[in-house]
Amino acid sequence: MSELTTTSVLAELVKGAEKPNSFLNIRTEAETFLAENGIPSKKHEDWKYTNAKRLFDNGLEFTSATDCTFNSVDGVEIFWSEAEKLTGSTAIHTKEAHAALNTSVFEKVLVIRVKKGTQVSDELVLNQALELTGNYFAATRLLIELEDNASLKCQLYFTGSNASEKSLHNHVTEIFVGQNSQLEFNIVQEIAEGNLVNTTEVFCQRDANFTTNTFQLSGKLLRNNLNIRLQGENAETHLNGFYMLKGSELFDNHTLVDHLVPHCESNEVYRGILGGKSTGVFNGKVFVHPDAQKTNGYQQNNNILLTDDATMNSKPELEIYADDVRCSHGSTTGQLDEDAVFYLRARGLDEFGATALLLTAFAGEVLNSVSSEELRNILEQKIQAKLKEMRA
Amino acid sequence: MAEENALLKEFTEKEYEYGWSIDIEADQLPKGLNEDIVRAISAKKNEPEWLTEWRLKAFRYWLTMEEPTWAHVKYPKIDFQDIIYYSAPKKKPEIGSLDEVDEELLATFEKLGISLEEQKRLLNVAGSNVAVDAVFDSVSVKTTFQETLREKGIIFCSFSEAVQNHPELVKKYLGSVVPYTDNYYATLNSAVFSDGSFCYIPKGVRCPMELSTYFRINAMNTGQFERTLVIADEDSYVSYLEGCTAPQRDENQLHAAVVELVALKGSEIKYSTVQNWFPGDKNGKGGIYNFVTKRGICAGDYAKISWTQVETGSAITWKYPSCILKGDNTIGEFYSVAVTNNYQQADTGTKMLHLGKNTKSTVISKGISAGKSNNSYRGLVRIGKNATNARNFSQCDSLLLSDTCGAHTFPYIECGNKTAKVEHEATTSKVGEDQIFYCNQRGLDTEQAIGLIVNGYCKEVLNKLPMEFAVEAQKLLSVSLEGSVG
Repeated sequence: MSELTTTSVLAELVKGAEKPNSFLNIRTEAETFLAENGIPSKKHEDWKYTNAKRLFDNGLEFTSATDCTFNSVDGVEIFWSEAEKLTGSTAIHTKEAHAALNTSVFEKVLVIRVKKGTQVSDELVLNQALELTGNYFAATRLLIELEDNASLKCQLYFTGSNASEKSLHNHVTEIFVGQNSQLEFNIVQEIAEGNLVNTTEVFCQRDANFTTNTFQLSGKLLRNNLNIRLQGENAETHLNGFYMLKGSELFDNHTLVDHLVPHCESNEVYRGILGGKSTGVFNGKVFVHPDAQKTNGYQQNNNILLTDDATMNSKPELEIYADDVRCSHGSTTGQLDEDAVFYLRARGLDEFGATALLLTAFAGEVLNSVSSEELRNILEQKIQAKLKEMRA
Repeated sequence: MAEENALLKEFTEKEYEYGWSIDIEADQLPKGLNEDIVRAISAKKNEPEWLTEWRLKAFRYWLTMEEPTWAHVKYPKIDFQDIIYYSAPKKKPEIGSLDEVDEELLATFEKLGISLEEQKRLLNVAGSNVAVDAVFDSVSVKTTFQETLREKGIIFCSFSEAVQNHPELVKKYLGSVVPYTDNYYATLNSAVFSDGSFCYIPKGVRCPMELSTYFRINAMNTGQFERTLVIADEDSYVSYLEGCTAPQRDENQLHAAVVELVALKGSEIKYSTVQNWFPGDKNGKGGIYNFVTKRGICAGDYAKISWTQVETGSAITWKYPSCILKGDNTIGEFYSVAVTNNYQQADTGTKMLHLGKNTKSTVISKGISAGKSNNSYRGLVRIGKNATNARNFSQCDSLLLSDTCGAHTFPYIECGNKTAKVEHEATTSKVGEDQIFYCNQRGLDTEQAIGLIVNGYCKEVLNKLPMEFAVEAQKLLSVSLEGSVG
């Protein structure tokens, strides 16, 4: 692919987007991928239910607003970098167009590193607060590395109370969990009317434990691509998600658990409540490679529809090439049990109170996997608040 | 383990039991596909003008389409110009007289165990309940027991006869469930279909016997393009069986059939398939490409369509028997056992499209993979906006019998109504060593144990087959899985 083509690809997609003068190797790869594949439309199987391409068709303007605020925590090295060598080593930019676009244009990466043997007790809180008030496009990037025998709990917020429905925030996180390390990674997405495409690529080494909980609370279009590659034996991952939709919101979760080696375990629970004319998408894939014997893979997706205009598209997939495995998945879509609502109403709760109680309990399974009580309380309040909004 | 390996070897080296080919002079069109070929097929069948036009519309549309690549199967590109689109046995016997049937032909059926004479004798003497519309290559050779059926007003004949004798029914329903624009292979079929079966059950009639078509592919390089149309008028019932075996050959053969079912108000159609076409040899050479479009519509309220299939053959299976639940209170069912071995690839499942109120669907799919095969379930459950109180339950289990095979599940669940209840579950596992040990302890050898466990695993589906087929299916399963202990 010639230089001319790749440059024009970027400019065509996002007005004013340019390739910064760093990370040249991965940027060239990413641009080539982008030039060859373009931004996927609804014809692409992975984007069947989610039209993110229309944002580009409407015209996007590049902005370098990439601020991310964070607290200082003992034992965690955190710094901005334009030369961190691990960046791009997951090669996600050669697999997915939005990650490729991010890789082509991001300015600097926020690196978070926990050294060998360090157990971090306090929680690291990151806030990607972008105020994309017009048809702006921003690309942000994170890199988290836990060296061997380390542990960290981290919260990542996507906020933006004035984000415009024409804007697009493109975020990429690369995560490396070293041998026998534990990472809990909680994501909260609350970006008013904004659009977000968030790609997370995780490499887990031997005996590692990676837990992630994603909460999608508001946004015009929220798309998460979460890929977890279990590269070392006895690695374990728990991925949970909870989404609440109203109005014409569209939240989409695509997950992939890639079992590359034997004796690993994955556990996935995604739950959602859909109101208004919203659309929910869940696509979970468990991929078991030929040698990954003794794999345990579990996947579940439960949805509650509150209105007749809400739509849920669920696609739990299993792709298995090893025989000595236990894999199962389940998916349900339905409404609240009338008997349960009646039971509570008979005990003096009004209809909204009864519904809210049941829906909060429904969210409980995902909420409970958040270890921080403080965060749990915050989330519960946010969920209650959104329930009230949905009622109105 | 040594014993298991020996069993595995024996099994994987087992050649296709029903493999042979008999020379019968065939009336063939030249290879290739163009408008002239389409016209020639139509002319050979003496079809009315509207049908010729319909074929041509399909052919022109087909030219604008691309071959689908989304299925989880791999195969060399098909050269559609290297296929003979029409082949008929030269001596066309007269209907109603067995004497004029080619002797070799009869012998073929005898080998298959479905001798027409036998069938006729059985039916006349004991009143057995199977009527056969035998399809040999592309033309219906013999249709039996039409008189018995005619008394009830049931029409059961070859598609070509239906076009001649009941054009109004064919015109009304042909393409009403699978339009000629539907998909690549269905469109191809619409352009070049040679023959098939037609069945019409009048209002309020319960078909007294199981209707059955035996497909058989013969003649080198002849793709078979069957077209089946079953119409159940109001409050009627019919059970339809379809089963196949084919001779062994080297070159891959394309089979792109279309089956359309129309169930009007209060009627029920039960469609059962046992498919045992040549799956290719143990190195994955040869075998049938089975790209089939099967779809039924529950057009009226309270109608029911039930698909049951046992798939053990074909090198590649690409098949999604579907139900459009249009009327209120309609029911769709899909029961499937798919077995793949050696290099076989199966991508099969169903579509349940809920449009009416109180519609119900059940999907039970059991996949068994052995050898180096790949077995995928791909299904869609769509609850439309107006499908109040729709209900779906899907269960897709996979059993793995070797460490080199693959089992995959790709369910699509689209729910657009809050009162709907949709459930999907799937498991993948191998036969437990403890289960085999338990059986061994009680005096069953490992192979019997596997047979027992697999049969138990598939019982839910096999139970849905009519008696005549259940026996055949059980035999097929045990033959297909002999010694496949991984």
